[in-house]
Amino acid sequence: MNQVTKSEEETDEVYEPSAATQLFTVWRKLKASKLAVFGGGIVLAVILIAIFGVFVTPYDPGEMWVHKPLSPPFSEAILGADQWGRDMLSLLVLGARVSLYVGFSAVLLEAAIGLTVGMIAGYFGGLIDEVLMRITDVVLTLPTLMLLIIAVSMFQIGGLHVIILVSGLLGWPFLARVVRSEFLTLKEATFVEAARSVGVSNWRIITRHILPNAMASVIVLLTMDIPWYIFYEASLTFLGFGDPTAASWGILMEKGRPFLGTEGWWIATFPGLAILITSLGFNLFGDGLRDALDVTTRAR
Amino acid sequence: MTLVTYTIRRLIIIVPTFFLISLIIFSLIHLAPGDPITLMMAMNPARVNQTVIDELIIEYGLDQPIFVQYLIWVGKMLRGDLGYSYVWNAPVIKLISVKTPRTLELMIIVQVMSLIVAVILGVVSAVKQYSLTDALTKLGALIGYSAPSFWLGLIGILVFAQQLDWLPASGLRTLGETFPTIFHVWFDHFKHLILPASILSFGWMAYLLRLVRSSMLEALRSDYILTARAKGLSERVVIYKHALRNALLPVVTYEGYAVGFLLGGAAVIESVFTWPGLGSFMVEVATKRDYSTLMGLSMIITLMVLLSNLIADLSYAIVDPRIRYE
Repeated sequence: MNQVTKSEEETDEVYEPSAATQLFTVWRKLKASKLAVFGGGIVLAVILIAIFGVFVTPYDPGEMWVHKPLSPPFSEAILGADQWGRDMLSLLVLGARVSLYVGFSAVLLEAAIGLTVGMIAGYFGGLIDEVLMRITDVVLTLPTLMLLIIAVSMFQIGGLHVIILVSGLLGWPFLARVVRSEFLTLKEATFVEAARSVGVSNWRIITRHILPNAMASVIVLLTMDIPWYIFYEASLTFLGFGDPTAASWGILMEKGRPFLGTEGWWIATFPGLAILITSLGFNLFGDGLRDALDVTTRAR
Repeated sequence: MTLVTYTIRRLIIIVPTFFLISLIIFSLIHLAPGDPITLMMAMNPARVNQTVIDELIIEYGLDQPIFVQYLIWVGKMLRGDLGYSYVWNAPVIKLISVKTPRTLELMIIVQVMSLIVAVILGVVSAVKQYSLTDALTKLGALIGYSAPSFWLGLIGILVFAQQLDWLPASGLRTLGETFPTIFHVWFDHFKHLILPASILSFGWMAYLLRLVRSSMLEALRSDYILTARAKGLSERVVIYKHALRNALLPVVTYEGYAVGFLLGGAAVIESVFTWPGLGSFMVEVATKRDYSTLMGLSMIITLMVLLSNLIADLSYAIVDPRIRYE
């Protein structure tokens, strides 16, 4: 694989592969890794379930007494029923929607802040870089879960959005550092100098010339950060700080906890398994993507 | 840059960080809807009467503008006065000092356990890359950082406490039992510690393991290893003396994040296992919205995190002199 990358670099001067060709190369490498395909498959499945699942499930997830309460899995309900006779499968499907909503929204916020800070710091350097990086260092040391607990317990309304907002606002420093270091190297590249010499504006150099080249590490990092946000939401909900109106996997686990050792072990077990499978999917896919895109950064 | 100037520089950075965090915590708590006094009354109607309220208003300067309130709070904090909890009817500092040893004990065990396992498995898995051991280790690590810790905790309770009945499900000691000797007490305490410590270290171990493995792989590929082998050194000396020493450098930085990571994890795990440490206390305090305790406790936790980061930075500078010339 090393050999391939090297020869590609060598031909870079004369032959610029089109975006489609590059995408195809990534796809080919990704396909070669079974684990990455497996992870990608899980991610795709969970996304599809989150979007379309609720239209297919046999029961309304909110409807009580559709089954005998606490019916075990593989009886009248495929994955059993909870203490109020709700269908577990339908509840899990709805939970996917909440978890992915949190994961993707928070990661978008992280990307918005992290990219902006990293690009500005790396491209302009000097004092502005120094200031931005000190701020990044400070945010990096903030204990995220603690601040989340404080924020969520203080603002008792709109729990889900407080979680998204606070975790996204605290999650960007690592991304900013990575983007900055990419920009530091790339701004010295010949193609940037060439662009500058023909009078291309800073904005255009940043967004059109450097950013696309830094995107690989950004995408890998963001993919592997999504499970974190899902964890945060689930943990907070489990601890009792969640949004009682959002039917998330964390809430199911909190409600199922008293039944764990006795007559309903599946209520808390299945949502946890769902989280495990989802984050496994994102992590495997991210790992595979890293290899396919030739990124050297470590996830946090 | 010498080590002394480096230390001073790191210390100077800590001060604004600390104040910034105090400002964030203060504003989070004060900008939120609901005011502390009404809440204190609701929580403890017997203790809080009009005289107490008037005293509180003066003590915390609640009739003053918000930045004056902040300054009053910071001033008190710097003098070691973290306030008084009207929910627990005790000074905050006293509450914290009772809980801290429980969390420290948990964290030390977790650290030692994760470090030992991560280094051993990381080295084996790097030296025997692509072997079955390597594959299994990678799989274990993958599950370790993909599984939510509280869920693992629940499963642990289900399996080891309720089904197999090997270990106690929660708490600090077996209640209502008398032990003949102090060793029985220790053993009982240790039994209660096993489950929460193992679950908490599983996630952290997975990160450390991945780090040790990748930095070990990198070290094994470097030129000085080739030189060492060319000199005819035994494989054991090459791996443990030459490669491992260098591979462990990044672990030192990671250890700095450990306290922050583990304190977050402790909040969850301590709650699952009702372990009476700082983490479960934090959750309890936040649930009861006990403002003064919440502010004091979060500042103490912040301080712990900042100090551990500082220690990690300094140890890194000591073990790797290059960092000081950055």
